[in-house]
Amino acid sequence: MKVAVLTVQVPFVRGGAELLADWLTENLREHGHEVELVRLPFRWNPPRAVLDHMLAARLTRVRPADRVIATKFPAYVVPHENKVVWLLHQFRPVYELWGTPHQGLEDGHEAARVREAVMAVDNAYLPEAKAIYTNSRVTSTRLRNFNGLDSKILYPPLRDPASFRCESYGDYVFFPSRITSSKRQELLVQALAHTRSGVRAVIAGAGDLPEHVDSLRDLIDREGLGERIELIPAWISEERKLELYANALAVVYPPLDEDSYGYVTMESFYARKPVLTCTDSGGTLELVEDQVTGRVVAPSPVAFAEALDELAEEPALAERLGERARRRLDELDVSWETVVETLTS
Amino acid sequence: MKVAWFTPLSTHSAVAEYSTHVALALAEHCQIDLWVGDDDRHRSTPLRTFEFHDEPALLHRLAQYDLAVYNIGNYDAFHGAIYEASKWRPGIVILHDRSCHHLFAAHWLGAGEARRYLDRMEALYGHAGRERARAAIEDRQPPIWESDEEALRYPLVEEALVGALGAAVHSGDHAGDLRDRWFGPVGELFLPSYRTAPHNAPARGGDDRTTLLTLGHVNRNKQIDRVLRLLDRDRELAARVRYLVVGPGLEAAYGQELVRYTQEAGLHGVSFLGYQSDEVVDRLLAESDVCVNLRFPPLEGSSASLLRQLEIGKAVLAFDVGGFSEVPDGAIVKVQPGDDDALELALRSLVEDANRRDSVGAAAAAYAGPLTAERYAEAFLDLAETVDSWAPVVRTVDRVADELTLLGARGQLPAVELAGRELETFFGQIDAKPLQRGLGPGDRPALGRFLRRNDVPEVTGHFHPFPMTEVTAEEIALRPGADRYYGAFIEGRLVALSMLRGWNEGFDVPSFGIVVDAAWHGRGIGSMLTDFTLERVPWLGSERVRLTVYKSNDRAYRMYADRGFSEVERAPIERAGERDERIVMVKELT
Amino acid sequence: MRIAVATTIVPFVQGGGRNLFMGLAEALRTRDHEVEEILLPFWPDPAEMVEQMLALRLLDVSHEAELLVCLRTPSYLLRHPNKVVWFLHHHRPAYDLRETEYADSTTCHSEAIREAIYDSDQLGLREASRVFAISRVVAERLRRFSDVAADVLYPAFEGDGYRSGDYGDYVFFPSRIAPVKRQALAVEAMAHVRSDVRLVVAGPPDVPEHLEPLRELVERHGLQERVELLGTWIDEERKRELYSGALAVLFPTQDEDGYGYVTAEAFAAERPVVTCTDSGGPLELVEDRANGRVVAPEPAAVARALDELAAKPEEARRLGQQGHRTLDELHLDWDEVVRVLTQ
Repeated sequence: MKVAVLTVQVPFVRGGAELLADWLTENLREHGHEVELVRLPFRWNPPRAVLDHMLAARLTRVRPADRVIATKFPAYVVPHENKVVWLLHQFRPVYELWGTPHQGLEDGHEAARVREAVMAVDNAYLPEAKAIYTNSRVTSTRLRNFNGLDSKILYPPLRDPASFRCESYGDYVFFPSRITSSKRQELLVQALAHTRSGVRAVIAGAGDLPEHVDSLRDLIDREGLGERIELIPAWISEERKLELYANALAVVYPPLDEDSYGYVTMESFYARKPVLTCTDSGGTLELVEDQVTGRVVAPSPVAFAEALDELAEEPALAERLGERARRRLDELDVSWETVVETLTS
Repeated sequence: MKVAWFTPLSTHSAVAEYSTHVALALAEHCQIDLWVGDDDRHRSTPLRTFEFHDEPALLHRLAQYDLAVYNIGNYDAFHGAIYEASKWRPGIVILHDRSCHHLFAAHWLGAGEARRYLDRMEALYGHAGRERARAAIEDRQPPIWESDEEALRYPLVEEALVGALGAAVHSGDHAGDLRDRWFGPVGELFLPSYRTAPHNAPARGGDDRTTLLTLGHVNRNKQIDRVLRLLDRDRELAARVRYLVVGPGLEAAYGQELVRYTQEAGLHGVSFLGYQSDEVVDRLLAESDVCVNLRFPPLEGSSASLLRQLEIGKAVLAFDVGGFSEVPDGAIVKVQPGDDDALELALRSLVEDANRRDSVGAAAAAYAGPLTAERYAEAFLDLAETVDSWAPVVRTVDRVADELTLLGARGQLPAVELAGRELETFFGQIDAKPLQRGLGPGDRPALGRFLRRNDVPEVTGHFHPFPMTEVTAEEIALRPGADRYYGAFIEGRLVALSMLRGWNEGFDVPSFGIVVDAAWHGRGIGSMLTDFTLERVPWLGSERVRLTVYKSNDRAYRMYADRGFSEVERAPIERAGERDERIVMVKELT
Repeated sequence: MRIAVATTIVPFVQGGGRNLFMGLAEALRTRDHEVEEILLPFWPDPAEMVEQMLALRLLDVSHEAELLVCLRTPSYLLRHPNKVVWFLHHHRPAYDLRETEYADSTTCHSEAIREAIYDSDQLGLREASRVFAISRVVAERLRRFSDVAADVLYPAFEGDGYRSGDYGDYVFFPSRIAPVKRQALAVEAMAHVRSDVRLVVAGPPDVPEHLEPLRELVERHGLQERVELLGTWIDEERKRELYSGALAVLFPTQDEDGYGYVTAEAFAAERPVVTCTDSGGPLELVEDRANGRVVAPEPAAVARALDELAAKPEEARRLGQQGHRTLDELHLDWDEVVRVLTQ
């Protein structure tokens, strides 16, 4: 089948959603489809640029495709009789980010009109799709609350799940993620100060801002944890990352109100490691179930420390949770096979 | 706010008279300059004037203004230069007449641009339009503007609105017509009265005939011939009236026709007084009993003379069309155009029944009384806010239209219609709910107006975190710092303001405050904006929020209690001579 | 420099400048430029062209890139303060192919749409700081159709890996099979050929329907033993092998826009090129009896040229080697292209 995958392109920026479109294209081809990956330019500043690019998307034509799979706003407004949407996220500035410091659109009448138009367009054109799939329960819930639309969850798989391995349940917990305030690396450091077991930690990820990394380092020093915490404030190679996953006791990932489960969560499960997350972490709770596939605790250092100690003192528990976590992925049927079949049926 | 008000200023221009009054009223709220489009003898005004008609280079200064307003009427000598200026800087166009055909035809033909006239007639009215215009240019048919019906069939108003941000007219009927022709925001205002004191009615000296008066340029639109024929048929009525026809134009064909008919029919009670000064006209108005103001078809957006007549409490007889329809029954006597029997009945009734005249006149004064220039100024500034909120839409539509033109896409191509439909999907929803959002730099003028409008004891009694001034508006809009401000908007106008403050002063816990415009109480806007604001607090990194409320403001106290606020402090306080209590409440956000 | 390179594609159709686009992007990257690739779908149905053109005008690709290079029509409708167009071809159905045998029902354009295509081409081209054409043929069309003066900038050709062998008993014609390439003319010519020379035609048909008639033509002339129709892409290695041992390369295409990769490949392999007087771009490389043959587009004329070469293979060698020198002298390399586009 001739499949057009539609996504969005912001000049000189490549992020998670772009990678996912690439992987989807690869996998569709592997299943014998003829695929054209179409990336539509998009800008949102000044706010009126949203209107221009939304209209441009609506005037775009990909007629020769037998099936169109659209993944992001405004790519999903391209008209086609046989369109499905795999929604990674809508245009968040006018939905849950409206009126918050993360809005990203300068406040004023222009932003207000953009919001009006985006909502009108979403409500008018998302229903054109034969089916709407989303990447998480959070996204589906938002779609229902904001636009009254139903959707099914279709979890995005990792590119190469088989590469994640489990070698042992070691003496450290692993926290791989960008170092930024919303990920809350501080919480792990403060928790470690309260533990009795002496469990260690490896924190790895590029820092958003140098100040964040510095203040994290200061915190580690103040708590006297320099020997127990290895801080790697940079991207680490795939090989190193896989090794750290392979030998971790557990993985720590307690972001604030994340909008989807997070790749870290899924990577951990493939590596058969339980995930420690918080009650207010948002999307991670779709995969992490307390005492089943990991631990879900209050975002306080003491509660966190207790969970860490429990696992450190009983690695068999970590193994049990980790195995269950791995089985959970099978239950959820997260695979490229499923994704391709679903999106092309 | 700085406003450039483009207008004729000629003593012969009714629009000029309107402008001098309205601009003066606006001057209470903003800095307004008159940009003068003609070089006739000017009316006097204390406002600053710019004779751009003589010095086009002045137009470069338009960049310094926040808003440009263009008064457009159907006369090239007064409005042609203003139309040209409007292309420099998009603004609000005030349309005084239903048809602008004469303005544009004279303007283009006068400049040797017959081709442009034909092209625009075709673009707007198709092949038929072009052919009719060509026939006029080639003298095969009379000019279109000589017939009221044709002038209204090809009004060319769209031309006045090319590139405009918004339009204003003075009657609902006119607004409806304009909305059919143009996609942008159309404000329905009203012609304000000028509130100059009327003359006292002088003694009549024994003449007990009822005085009828018709004012204005003598032309067929005024239907004077109809009245004369009526008097001719009903001699008994004719004997009881003195009919004064005042206004220039007697030397033209229609005027001559009227004079001849009157003489031949021996209608001695009818007098044609020709042009008279404003002074004399006022005196005649005061003397008259009934104003006969029959106009058909309605050419003006609204009638200034009508308003004057209503304001001084005269009984007016008019056709039930255009702006006249909108005057409430009882404050005016309306008949269907073409129904001569009804006209006769109505005229008789007014002539014979002085009580009826008095009661209609009193109702007229009561109706027109509140239609002041001050109220007009407020309404106009409200419109300006709405227009501001529409600007992104208007600009987008214009931009798309421009690109289609550059691409050589002619009107009949499906792509053009398609683009229009898509834009309709974007912006065509009408959402009655208030829009809530953060405030930005562009909101400064609206915020300034809002604060000054609400600088009244009913509001500042409970709400006084800062002076309700333009200076505060500027601080909030341009330099909020770490504090946050939000607004609720209806039709683009700011109707409520909320805030989370304290971070600028180093506090960890923000204080919540809200003020709803006095005119918009009781609609749930306060609750809505309160909820919206409180929902944002967690995003700002705070775990709790506090506020202050007075015991006397019971409704507010209960609203906060309902939302999970608990008292932490209560202290007696004396306010405006009364005993009250100042209560601090806090809400935890987990 | 941060450079955006843009082109249009017809979804699921290869060719159409995609290779040139990829080659250019890669060439810029290896010379240390940061490149953003912009490939936009453009479906050439006249009924939907104007709205797609409007879409291009609404996009903003200007912010981060200092230079925008636009290739295939109508990508040059994109707006940018420093826009350079490397023009491949017009949308011919709206221009000179309207009433030729190469127009078809899908290319029927109303007057209004044609006007819009003319106006929009001018709009996009006039906005450009510089306009280049891939050949003199195209530059001439730009002048004639769009009143735009363009410099010629030939696409680069990577000639490594082409080897030169004997001058054998077959003539090689590698190209996608389409009426405009005139494989039919080549087959007809073979019916007139007197020597034993064979013809090898390699390339997939643009549309499957183009292959059958060609096979039938071969059968009708009883040329099954003399003409080999490989109606599919052949891999690089096989192609180079066939080039290296050919007597000559036959390329009788009609009105080609560019100089033709076939022409360059033949010269890289030191093969003479036999082409026609109306072949277009290749004539900018091929000179009659200097590095190839240029003959009238008639079967008999083509046959005569092939017979002459078959009779004197040493002439084929002489022409072929001169062809190789022609190629060297032209510097069809990316260094030149990048230098010109980024100056």
